[in-house]
Amino acid sequence: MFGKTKFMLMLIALATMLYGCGDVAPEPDESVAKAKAEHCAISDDESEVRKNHMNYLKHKRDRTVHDGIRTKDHSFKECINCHVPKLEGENKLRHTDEKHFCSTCHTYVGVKLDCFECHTDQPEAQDAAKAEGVK
Amino acid sequence: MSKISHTADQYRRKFLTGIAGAAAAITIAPGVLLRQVEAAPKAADAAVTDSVRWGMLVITSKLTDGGDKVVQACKKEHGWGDEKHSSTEQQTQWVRKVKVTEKLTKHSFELPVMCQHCETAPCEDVCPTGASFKRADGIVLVDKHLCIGCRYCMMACPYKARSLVHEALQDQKAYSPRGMGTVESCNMCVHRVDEGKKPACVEAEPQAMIFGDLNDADSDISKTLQKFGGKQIRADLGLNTGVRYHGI
Repeated sequence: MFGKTKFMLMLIALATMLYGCGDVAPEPDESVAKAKAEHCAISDDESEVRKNHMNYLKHKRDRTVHDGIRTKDHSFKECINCHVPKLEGENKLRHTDEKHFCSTCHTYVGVKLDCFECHTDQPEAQDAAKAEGVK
Repeated sequence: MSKISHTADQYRRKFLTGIAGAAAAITIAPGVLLRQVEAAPKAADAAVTDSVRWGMLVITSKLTDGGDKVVQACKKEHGWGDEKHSSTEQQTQWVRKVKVTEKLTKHSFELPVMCQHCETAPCEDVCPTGASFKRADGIVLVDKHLCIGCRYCMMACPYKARSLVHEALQDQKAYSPRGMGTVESCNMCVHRVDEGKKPACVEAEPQAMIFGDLNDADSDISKTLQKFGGKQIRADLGLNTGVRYHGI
């Protein structure tokens, strides 16, 4: 009698645990991320960007800080300029928001990034001359 | 004969233009240097070299307000100094106005003091991670990617030029990243210099400040320094600073 109750309880617990296991993890929402990008500053090969963007960025960061090379190629600033929408005030899309370009994936894969401890998570205010160059 | 000399002239011209185009010192034989007269802005994808050494000259008598405009321009450019949760002592300060009064004569003057961009920088010497460094063109910087916030450099600096960010920041300038737990100081507006522009403070007080290449004898700053002289603060330390003052 006792054994049967225990068995039933275990069965229920097992069923609860297995519930939802058939579902695939939800895909990250990339609608924001893809909204503006035509040419990637890192590589046009999307899988290469996903896999190795951190290496490109890290390499470029040293070239910029130590050698003063501030081109758009592999530039962290360009990621933000292109992929984060320019919004004002309360509506600003923060890096803590899951819809922020970097967070769409970083939240999904559970990898912490601390670029935004120092770097702004907002696109640069662009004057007319600069905006023309970006086009 | 004339044809040959004409060809030679053309060749010479081409050769000289080639040197000017390289915008750098070129060694033609050991110990012999040909240096371009006026430093052209470096190409965007070229690394900085030690053929230039950037420096600033402050003519204190020509400052309109002893340096307030300089401080304001720097604040505006880099966005420092208005930390909400930091106490007065904790506020960051890249440049400050200093008033000096001689005890006997009571003669006083004011000057802006910032990172002096030493040739032999004490901050670079003491940094345990290599975050404090001098760029090839003489600008002393903090690589915040490497800075662990130990503040050893703040103690080593004889000019009190550095400060630590004590609180989390948001909406920094894209060209001037700043963050909690890292040390920062005047970077001679390195993002502007790399584009061939002058630092923000020099643009704010153009009559009192000269920015230029100390290695180039024909630059504005070198000529002015040669003619009128310029002092280093604490010259006794022998740091060979890149920032010089006239009138102190």
